[in-house]
Amino acid sequence: MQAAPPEGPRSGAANAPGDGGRWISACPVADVSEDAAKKVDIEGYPSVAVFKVDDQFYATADLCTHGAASLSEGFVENGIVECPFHSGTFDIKTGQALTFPCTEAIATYRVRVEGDEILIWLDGP
Amino acid sequence: MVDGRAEIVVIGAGPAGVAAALAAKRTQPARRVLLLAEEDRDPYEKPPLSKSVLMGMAEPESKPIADGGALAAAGVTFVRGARAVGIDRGRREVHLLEQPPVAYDALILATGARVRVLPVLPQDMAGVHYLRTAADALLLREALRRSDRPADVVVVGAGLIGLEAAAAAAGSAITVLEAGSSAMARVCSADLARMIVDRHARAGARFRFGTTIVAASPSKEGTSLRLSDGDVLEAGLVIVGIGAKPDIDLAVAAGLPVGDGILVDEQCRTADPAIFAAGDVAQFRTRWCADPTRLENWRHALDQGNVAGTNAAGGETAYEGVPSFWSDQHDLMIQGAGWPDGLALPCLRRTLGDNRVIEFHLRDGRVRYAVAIGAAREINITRRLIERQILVSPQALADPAVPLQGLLKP
Repeated sequence: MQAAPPEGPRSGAANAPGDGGRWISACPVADVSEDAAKKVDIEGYPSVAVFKVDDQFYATADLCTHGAASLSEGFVENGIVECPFHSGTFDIKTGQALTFPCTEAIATYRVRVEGDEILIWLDGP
Repeated sequence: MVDGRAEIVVIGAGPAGVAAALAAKRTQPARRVLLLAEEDRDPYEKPPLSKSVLMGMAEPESKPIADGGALAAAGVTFVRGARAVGIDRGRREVHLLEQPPVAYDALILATGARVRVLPVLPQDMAGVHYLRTAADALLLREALRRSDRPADVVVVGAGLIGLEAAAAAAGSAITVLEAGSSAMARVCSADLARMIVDRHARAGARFRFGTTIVAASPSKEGTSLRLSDGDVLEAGLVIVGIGAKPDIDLAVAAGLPVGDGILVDEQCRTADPAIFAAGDVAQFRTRWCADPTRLENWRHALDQGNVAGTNAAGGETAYEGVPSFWSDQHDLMIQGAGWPDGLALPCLRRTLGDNRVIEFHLRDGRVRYAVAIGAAREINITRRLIERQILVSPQALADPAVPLQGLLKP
């Protein structure tokens, strides 16, 4: 499982670093497979997509930075998610946009696993 | 302004031209790349014009392919309002309207396509709208808004543009005229087309298939249309969407071989090794098809432009992309992948839910073409099945209980 120091979000997170961040239960481990990501809605936050790559879990913003597409619906292979609408791609681990027309990175979130539950770190709303 | 000397010149600033210019600069950062746009606008996306722009939810500028700033940052010289009027292949110069000529070492033609015009409904006829450019979309949007009562809108052509316009005009009384026997006949089966037509019908649109317009004249209502079955329709607004044709005039005048588009090889080269073509205007060789092929798809234009630009800058890349398209109509998201010649092949259907379905067209045990409604994940997996030419079991394809992604694994 991904190491997850609790001191706060890394750069690229949706919100500016600050106090009031917390670990939030996202979904059961069983909901996410290498083939199918999970879209998680948490009140007060933009939707999050939870991915599984090489037995590790990762979380990113669910909304593509190019169009209004849900990345949890996208095709995932080799740690890269392809936007289901226009085929732009992002690196799931870093959020970096890899293929045109996507040029702007997606936010990424810290993830840890507790028992059967995936937790993600979110800054205060 | 154009200063006369560039090393790589791109004519046309749609997705193919923009991708070509960026790729050329990326491949040879030291060379000058000039991108010429005929319209006086930054490069804009055309797909939203018949969708969110027409519905008033976006402006043509709100989703640029790349704005002037991004092109400048990439080192591409972008000139708006520069209309190419001729190519002197001997001197390697592009002639521009009211501007000095530009010399090139390599030239990329990405001139795109123009609307196909119905002779009885000329583009300048009052109340008649064609939809291709940002200016077309803004005029049509204004006309739809202007009607203070639900206007009688007649859409000519049940293809992708006609049906997207019909969806955007919902609220008006809409009649769709189609010469053929089914909607979107170039891209989907008659069964899928029926689902799409039913959705429009639920929104109030009426369809008349096998019907053409014999004559049109201005009337008190707007336009009076005499139909092939003898009926007369009074239209407040006419929207014509009967396809596009490649903008090959420059190539023809320059003596380059053309068919249904400018003929290019797998590397996007025309018969003149210094001139390339990509996007809607190019009829290209590909290992995927026996005959030269032309496509009018957004992703294809980007990807082929990328190859043309790379090769114009000295690369040797073959274009091997598999096409895809999408269309939004009401709440239906329609997506296709693969080669549309596959439509004639036997078809398998996987039903995923209400109005959620994907159809596969198979050749020799492999998917050649697929169209989906409301199944983004499935169509994107299927594009890989096509690209990788994976042998598939028809039973597994048709069974929604079998995860599609599993079929990608050996």
